[in-house]
Amino acid sequence: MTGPRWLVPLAVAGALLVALPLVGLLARANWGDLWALITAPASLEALALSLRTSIAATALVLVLGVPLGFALHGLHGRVRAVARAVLLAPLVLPPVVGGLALLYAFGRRGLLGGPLEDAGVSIAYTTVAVVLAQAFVAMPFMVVSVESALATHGSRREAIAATLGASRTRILARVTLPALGPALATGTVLAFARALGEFGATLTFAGSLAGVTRTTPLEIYLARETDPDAAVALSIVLLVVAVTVVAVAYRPVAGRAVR
Amino acid sequence: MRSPARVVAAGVVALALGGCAALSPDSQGAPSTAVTHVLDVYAAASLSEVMETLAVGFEEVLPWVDVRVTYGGSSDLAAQILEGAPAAVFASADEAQMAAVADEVAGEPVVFATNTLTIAVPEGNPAGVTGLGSLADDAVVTVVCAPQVPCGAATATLAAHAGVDIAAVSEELSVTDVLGKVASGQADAGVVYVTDVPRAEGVEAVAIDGADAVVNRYPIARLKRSDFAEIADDFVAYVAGAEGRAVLAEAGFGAP
Amino acid sequence: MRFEAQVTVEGRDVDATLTVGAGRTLALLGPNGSGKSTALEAIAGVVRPTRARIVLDGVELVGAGRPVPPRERGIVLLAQDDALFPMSVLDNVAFGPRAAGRRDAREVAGTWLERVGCADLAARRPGELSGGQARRVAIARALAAEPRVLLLDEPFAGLDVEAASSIRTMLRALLADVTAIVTTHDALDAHTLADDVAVMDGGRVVEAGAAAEVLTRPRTPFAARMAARVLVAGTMRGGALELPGGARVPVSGGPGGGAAGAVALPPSAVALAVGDAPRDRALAWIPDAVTALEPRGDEVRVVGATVAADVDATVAAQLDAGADVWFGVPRGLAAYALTD
Repeated sequence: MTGPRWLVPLAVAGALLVALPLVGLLARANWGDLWALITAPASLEALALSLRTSIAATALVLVLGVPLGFALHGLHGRVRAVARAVLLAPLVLPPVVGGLALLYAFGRRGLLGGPLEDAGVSIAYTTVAVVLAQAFVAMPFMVVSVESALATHGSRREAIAATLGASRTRILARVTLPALGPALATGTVLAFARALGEFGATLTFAGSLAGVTRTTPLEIYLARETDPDAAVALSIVLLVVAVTVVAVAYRPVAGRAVR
Repeated sequence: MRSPARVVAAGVVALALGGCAALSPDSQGAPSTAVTHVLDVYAAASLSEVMETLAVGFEEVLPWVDVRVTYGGSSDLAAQILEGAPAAVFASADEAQMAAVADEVAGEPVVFATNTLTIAVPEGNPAGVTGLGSLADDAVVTVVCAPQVPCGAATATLAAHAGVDIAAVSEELSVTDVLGKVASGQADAGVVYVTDVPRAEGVEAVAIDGADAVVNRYPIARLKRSDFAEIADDFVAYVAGAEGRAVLAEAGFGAP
Repeated sequence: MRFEAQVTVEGRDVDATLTVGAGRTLALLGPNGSGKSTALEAIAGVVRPTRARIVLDGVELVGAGRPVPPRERGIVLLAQDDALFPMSVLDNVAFGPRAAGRRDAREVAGTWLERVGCADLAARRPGELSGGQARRVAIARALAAEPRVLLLDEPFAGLDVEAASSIRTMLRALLADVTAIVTTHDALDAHTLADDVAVMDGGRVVEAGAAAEVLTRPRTPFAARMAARVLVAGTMRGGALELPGGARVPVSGGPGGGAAGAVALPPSAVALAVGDAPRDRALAWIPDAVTALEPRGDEVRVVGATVAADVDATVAAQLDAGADVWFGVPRGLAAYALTD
């Protein structure tokens, strides 16, 4: 179905608004040296750090976000609405606000960070801080994926599995989680992408030191000053990852339903 | 404190008007109070408070001019100017960024202020920082600017000059990030500009012996694309002149 | 040794009490929407009953105290939608044995797959099965769990005639020694599978008893309808049933004079005539008027106030609602008492 004709120019304008900056980035790239720029030591160090921290953050999000999605699904009415709003807040919160919040929780003088510091455990300025910042902003993707999948999935199969004598753990592992497979995959991919792109919270909370806390987005921001070509090259790497992730995550999942 | 009356002495007004009386749109009578000219000034973020005072002072002198100041990192502003941003005046925090836009500059840039480095510590100086030497201690959580940005380059030069190997846990992307980490107690010390300390809450300065070895110069210049060249030139002269000097000195900037 | 379940689900207006003897099969007979599935799901614990009392072999599973969790009840539900899990067919069937901690779960599952004729499908995923195959696998999975009570919800729904027929034959053998409740809207299923029948209407059990009794001697027009019969009810007077309209149907046996009695017969055995009183003396003729005409394949059921007849569509085509007709019922049918 297509709409009235006057939608077309607006749609074109919208497409330009989104696509033109991306084209601009590509147009600015120094294609001849792209590979050399990406494989320069500073770039590689930042990319490797980003990869490590994003994988760790995604793992953390899986381990904690899936149970969180189940817990949220188990709540009802107003309690659920409030809990959902709080848990999904990092999705729309300005990253720098998230960074401040993390600072006051896990920083050297934070709610938890202070006592930890006294106990000799320091989170600030470590790679752990980067992972926490990334997990903080990526968690909502997993929670919302799991919760909405559970809402549409229903609980009949689980109830029938129970009549067959299965324990709750067995039902979760063998019936529910496999059925949530597509949602978990989407949540994982989106969480990874969000972790990879995390900038504001990392900058505010974790700091920026090559190989320790300076992830690719921070390296891009820094490189802008002195080496715009390198900044553009790294930006293209993240752009490719972003486009790939969206293409994978938003693939229609029709035909996967289990009879 | 920002009162323009205090900043702009009567004699100064006469001086400023001397060069631009012909610009009055109403040359027959008293200057009109209606704003007819807009002057776009691009200024380094570290100038934000003083440039506001200077703008107000200048508008007192020429009431028909609206000085519109855009703040940002000097490199960001330089990049925007190169991309065609409609700036009439550019006040940079370092000479390198001014040099980057040399092709757009009308005449020679004027150095109107200088700045030196100092150590910012949280109120009460919990780590007992006494000077640059303290920052080599791993126990003192120190943040500095990354060498790629001007404040970091200056810090690196000063540290090399003093023979100190600063053990930084983080190399921030801007001086604001350094200040933020010190002010929040996340860091025990940070190397910033002298003028940054009074701008931040909960931060005090520990002077660096020999800080004069690395002086950061602030150049200002009119850009070729300015619509009202005389007004822009007057603004540059005002900032670099005695009245500008007084405002800048009060904010902690050094003389050129 | 028997299974008793009383469940109330207020949201769906279901309040039913069912009793099954050990090793027997109870058919829960009722039209769509009569609450059969809800009753079954409430017993299995798939839907939460408002109130329930479930007793198996004298042990109260659900009642006044804390209910035994569904997984420990030994009551397995074979759902209408099969509800196969996202795993291989073999793993589906092995699910119950595995949950019970059996080490030979795969072997047990293989045996059950053979019994339902699906051994060759072991490696398939649920999405790769036909409707009939999925139903067989679901049956194997339910039975492999060694249920103490098996609940089958419309086991032939959604299947083509051939598949339904072969699965009906198979179930008949498999359910021989299993305590089971099977819901159906089809009297034939009840005949084939059940020892006992409970007729359900509007969420309540309206009639219950041995299958032969309920299906051949229904006591209410509704039960008769579910048993695919028409109920000719009246008062016994001198070897005949006197109908409310005054018509007399000679019968054999039955209760004493003045008692309420009835005969039940398939609507296809009722004859239909139009016009003057028919002369065929082999039949007892009942004057009536058409209240409804219900097409049923090649035939049309002509429904009157007292009786109904299945007639050829060409005959029914001449009739309109309100038309005067004669229903012919064979003389000498075995009558039975309507009051207990």
